[in-house]
Formats: sequence, C-alpha cells, structure tokens
Amino acid sequence: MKLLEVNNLKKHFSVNDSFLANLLNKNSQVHAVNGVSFSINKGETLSLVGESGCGKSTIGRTILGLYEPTEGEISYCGKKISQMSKKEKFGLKEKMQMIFQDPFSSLNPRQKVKDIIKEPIRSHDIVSREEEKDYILNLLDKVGVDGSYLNRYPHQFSGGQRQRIGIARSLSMEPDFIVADEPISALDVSIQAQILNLLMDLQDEFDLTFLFIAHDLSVVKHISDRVAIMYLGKIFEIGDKKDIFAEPIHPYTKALFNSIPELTTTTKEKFSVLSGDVPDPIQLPQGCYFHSRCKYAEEICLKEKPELKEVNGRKVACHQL
Amino acid sequence: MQREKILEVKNLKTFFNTKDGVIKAVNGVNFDLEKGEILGIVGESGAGKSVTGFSLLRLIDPPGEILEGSIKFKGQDLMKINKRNMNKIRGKKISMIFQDPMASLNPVLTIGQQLIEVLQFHLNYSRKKARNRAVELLNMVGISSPEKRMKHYPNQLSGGMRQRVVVAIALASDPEVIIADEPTTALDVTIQAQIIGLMKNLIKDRQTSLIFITHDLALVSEIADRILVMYAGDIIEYGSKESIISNPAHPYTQGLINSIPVLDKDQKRLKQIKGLMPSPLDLPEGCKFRSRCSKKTDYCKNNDNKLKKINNNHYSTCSEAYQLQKELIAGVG
Ligand SMILES: Nc1ncnc2c1ncn2[C@@H]1O[C@H](COP(=O)(O)OP(=O)(O)O)[C@@H](O)[C@H]1O
Ligand SMILES: Nc1ncnc2c1ncn2[C@@H]1O[C@H](COP(=O)(O)OP(=O)(O)O)[C@@H](O)[C@H]1O
Ligand code: SF4
Ligand SMILES: [Mg+2]
Ligand SMILES: [Mg+2]
Repeated sequence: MKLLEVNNLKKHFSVNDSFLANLLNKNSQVHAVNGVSFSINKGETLSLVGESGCGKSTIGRTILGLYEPTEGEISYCGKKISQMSKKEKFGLKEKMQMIFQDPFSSLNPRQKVKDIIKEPIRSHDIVSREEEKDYILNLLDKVGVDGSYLNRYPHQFSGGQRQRIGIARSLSMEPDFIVADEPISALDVSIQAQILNLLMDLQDEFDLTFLFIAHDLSVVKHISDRVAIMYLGKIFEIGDKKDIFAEPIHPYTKALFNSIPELTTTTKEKFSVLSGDVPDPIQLPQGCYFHSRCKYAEEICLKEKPELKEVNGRKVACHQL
Repeated sequence: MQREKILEVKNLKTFFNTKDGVIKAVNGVNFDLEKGEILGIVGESGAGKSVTGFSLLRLIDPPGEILEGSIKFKGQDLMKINKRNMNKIRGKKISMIFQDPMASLNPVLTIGQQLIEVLQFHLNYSRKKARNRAVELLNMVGISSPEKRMKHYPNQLSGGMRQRVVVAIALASDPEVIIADEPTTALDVTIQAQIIGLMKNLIKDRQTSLIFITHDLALVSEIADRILVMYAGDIIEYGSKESIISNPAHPYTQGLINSIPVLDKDQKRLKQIKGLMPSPLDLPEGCKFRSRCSKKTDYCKNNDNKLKKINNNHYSTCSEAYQLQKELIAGVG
C-alpha cells in the first residue's frame, strides 16, 4: 500500500533581499527542488541520497508541511494533503514526524527530558494525565534512555543520548511516517551503529515508514529498501537498494559510489572521479543538470532535460542509456 | 630499509586546567613520522587527535599546557627552541590544514594577497616572483582561471575551492611536514575525493610527510601508510595500515571496524560498541576502554597503557591481545 506519494514536487525559495540577489540585481530564486516524484509503501524505508544542497531536507520539510510546495502534490494514504480540512491536517501532524540531524538544536535547552516529551503528548491529547508518566517512561525505555534521567536537561546528555531523546519525542505521538533527516551524521561511528540499530528495531516494532535522508552511502545501504539519488533538486536514479548497489547506472550515481571511502588494506591510487562543483541552484543549467561534470555528455545533454525512464528494473534520468 | 625519521614524539602530555578540573587530553603519547609517509590518526571526537596536532606545533594556549615530552623535528627538539625560531618552523617547515578553511583564510584579503604574503614571508620572494608562483600554485591545486581567482575573496569561492586554496597555501613554503586535521570532513564525498587525490599526488611528488587526522577509519585506510588509533588521550594501537585493518589487536579498534556498515556485505544488525568514551576529567585506572570491553579480564584494571609489541609493524596497549600473542608465539616455539 502506498502511504505517501509525491508528485512533481517543486520548491523554490526567493532570495530577493539577499546579498547575492543585490549583487545580481534581480529577483532570484533558489531552485531547491525541481520536479520530484516518488512514493513510499507502508513499512518501507526510502532513502534520499545526494550531496549537500541537493534539496533533500527541503523535500522532507515540504512533506511535513513546514514549507508550502511551489508546485506539485503530496498525498498521504491516497488523499491530497492540499485538499485536506484543517482537522485532517492537525491529525496528520501526529502521523508524520521528524528526527533531526542535530538533536541539540532540536531540543529546547531549558526543558527537562520529561517536559520535552510531555509537550507534544499534551497538545495532541495522546494519553490521560494519569497515564502520562508511565507512557513517557515506557518511551524512554524503548529508546534506551534510563528512566531516572527524567529531570535532566539536554546538555547533560551525550550526542547519542540526545538523539535517543529526540527519537522518543517523535515516537510519542504514535506516528506512522517519519522523516529522519541525517539522524546519525553528527555522531561518532560507534554511536552511529547504536542509533541505526535502534531505528531499525523501532521500525519493526511499530511498523514505521521512513523517509531517510543521508549522504553516507554505507549507512543508506544498510537501512533502506529503496534509494533515490538526487542532484540539484532532481532525482537521477531511483529503485531497489539491491539493484542500485549491485550496479549503479547513472553517471552521477557511479561517480558518487566511487568517491565513498571504503575500509581497505591496500592504498587507493586513483581518487578524484569528478571534476568541478555542483552548479548554482539560482541559475539552473540548461539540459541535464549534470552535464558540466559528466564525461559522457553530448550535444543533446546540453539542450534537453532527460526524464526518468525504466532501465534494468529501476528508473534513471540520462540521455546516454 | 629504514626511512629517515622527520618527527619523533616522546611522552607528549597536554592537559587543560579548567574550572571543572584537569582535562587530560593527551596522556603521554609516543610516535614517529617518516619521510614521505602518510600517518593517519583516527579516533572518535574528544580522543585527543586535534590537541596532539596542535601540540606538535606548540599551538596550545592557556588553560592548556604541554606538561612533558619531546618533539624532535629532524633531530631538533621543538620543545627546547625559542618562540622566534618556532615561528619560523611553523607554516614553513611544518604547515597545518584545518577542517574549516575559513580558519586559515583571511576573509578581507584576496586569495592572491594571501598566497603572495606567505611566499614573501617564508621564502623571501620578490613581489613579482611571488605573484607568478601564486598563480602556479592555484593551477596546481586545480583551480580554473587562476589569474581571475587571485582577485577573489574567500567568500566568493565554494567550500571545496576554499579548501583547495588552503592546500595551496600549506604547500607554498614547500614544507617537510603537513598536519591536516579533518581537512575534508566538512566537504561532500565527491569533493573530498578531489581534495584527497590532490593532496596525495602533491605530497608524493615532493616526499612531504603527512599527518592525516580524521574520525573516518575508512578514509584513512585508503591513504595512510601507518595508522595510529587514539582513545581517551592515549594511542591504543599503532602500526602498519595493512596489519591494523586486517588484524586489529585492540578490542576498541575491532569494535570500530565492526560497527562500520560495509558496502559489499549484507548485515541485519550492526555490531555496536556499547557505552561511551570516559570523560577526560575523570579517567579510570588501567585500561580506559575497560567499561565498554567485552574481552576484559582482571588484569585490565592494572594495564599500564603502554604500547606493547605485537610484531615489528604493530603495537597495542591491550593486555589481552598481548597475552594472546605471547601464548601463540610460545605455542609455536
Ligand atoms: N529556507 C530557505 N531559504 C532559501 N534557500 C533555502 C532554504 N532552505 C534551503 N535552501 C536552499 O535550497 C537548496 C537545497 O537545500 P537543502 O534542502 O537544505 O539541501 P540538502 O538537505 O540536500 O543539503 C540549497 O541551495 C539551500 O541553500
Ligand atoms: N581549549 C580547550 N580547553 C579545554 N579543553 C579542551 C580544549 N581543547 C580541547 N580540549 C579537550 O581535550 C580533549 C581532546 O580534544 P581534541 O583533541 O579536540 O579531540 P579530537 O580532535 O580527537 O576530537 C577533549 O576532551 C576536549 O574537550
Ligand atoms: S544526460 Fe548526458 S550529461 Fe546527463 S548524465 Fe546522462 S550523459 Fe551525462
Ligand atoms: Mg539537509
Ligand atoms: Mg578534532
């Protein structure tokens, strides 16, 4: 069953009053998301992968209603969110939750752990006042935080513990769908494994559906069912994790996979597989967004945008296939 | 054949006196650096990697203090020379690259001005010669239209380009040692690959030695000749890359290697190291990894934390690993 469907989503930010806009002397737009479509089935994990600035967080935030889409539709359980009533939208706020990269900035430093978790429970009336304490203790237990820490403040915890508290808060409203935006990027490797294991256990226990945002491919491979590779606000390749990791097809996916450091005993001789930088999202290139860095680019790539098409069991947007 | 030792560090100890107590950031470490080699320093945050790097250049400010130790640079003890001579070595013979390129760049000077300044200061180049060399250096680090870029300010460049400029500045004085502290951590992987490839080629050509500090064991395994693993202010494992990655002796290193998801292997659950690194304000006696270690024995609380030889290219502080090795050797003998 499709839980979430995103259809031709675009999100542009205007930067009228920015320094850059003044410099360019025009009404500029940051083209953060440029026509993205995908769906996620219930209980599944879809990962959005790509380098910083390619629009991953913007997609996550737009799905959660933190931004208005510039264009396109998002549907939840088959219903377009834009056509939902106020009441339905409020209900959706319980069902869809977010886990952030930096647990510190997402937790109020002046609130004790119990209040951090209590707040959403009360505003959405999840349990009665009598049950509240047990409910919170149970949540903390599920995420592996000792119940005796109820009265502590965020700064009294390590990064990993804070992330657990952030996860407990997200779970407090019994959500079905979670956007996890780089939830382990700020943590040390040994702690990353702890949190990844926790997320996967919770997914099994509560039948959660994840949109997992990350740039670390080994982590993505570990946690995902399906993967979408993004560049400049577009999906270049999307499909089953197994297929894509077995054989990346899009020239950018290939380059990205080649750049990932891997544990080895032999010194790597050849680095630098891609030259140059990602183009500026204010002035999108013509044709394929990747053509300035692509070694396969030909005439058509400079003129026409490639659309996603079926190749070897997944979808790829490239003219040269 | 033994290569020339550029740096020899003995019993280096750097503490910070804070109002909460003494932070034992670096607890008497010993290592050396050979000519032309890449030495990787890995460990999780707070392990003491950066403080080690800064200490080598005597860049520790109060409340920090280098309490003990010698840092021999080509035989000369840097701990014993005066400030003026140290300033001459720093940035010229030994240069440093940081995670944040803006920490090394001056935002109000153009890229060209900064490069020219370094060349004039350290190499006494004339202005004209420095200018030409600056363009050459920018070209060398893969900056396109270097003439044009000379006139740009740091904020007009992307993060990757800024770090390339920092590499150019670090190389400008033709140093013998570069200390790079997480130089690519803030960059995307494709840009990281560009910068690492670039650094590797440039130093290989000149036989420069590189100390590469990172939390990323996979990255370090791709470039280092030898690896040094730090934990709570100690070097807990030290040796050739091949030996450490294929045969990690310390349970912490083993745990680190096991907790990295591997691309070409399917695992349902990752092996995790439980718990946290102890606070540097309150370090336990004996082996500092003890509370997290699944292999600990009674002996571990008496561990002296000295590196013990496993073979000619491999040392570890773990007493268990050492015991095991001795038994193996005894068994063979
Ligand atoms: N609130 C905003 N206002 C203006 N520009 C933004 C805003 N949020 C993101 N952007 C821009 O949109 C692009 C995509 O950003 P983001 O979605 O955060 O990327 P990612 O999460 O993949 O790193 C970037 O160029 C970013 O600078
Ligand atoms: N200026 C300072 N004042 C007080 N403590 C410091 C200072 N710099 C580093 N430390 C402490 O020294 C220890 C080692 O830090 P550092 O070398 O930066 O770790 P790493 O680079 O391995 O992440 C940490 O506990 C850190 O908090
Ligand atoms: S469409 Fe052309 S430029 Fe784009 S990735 Fe394919 S070959 Fe390269
Ligand atoms: Mg983001
Ligand atoms: Mg550091």
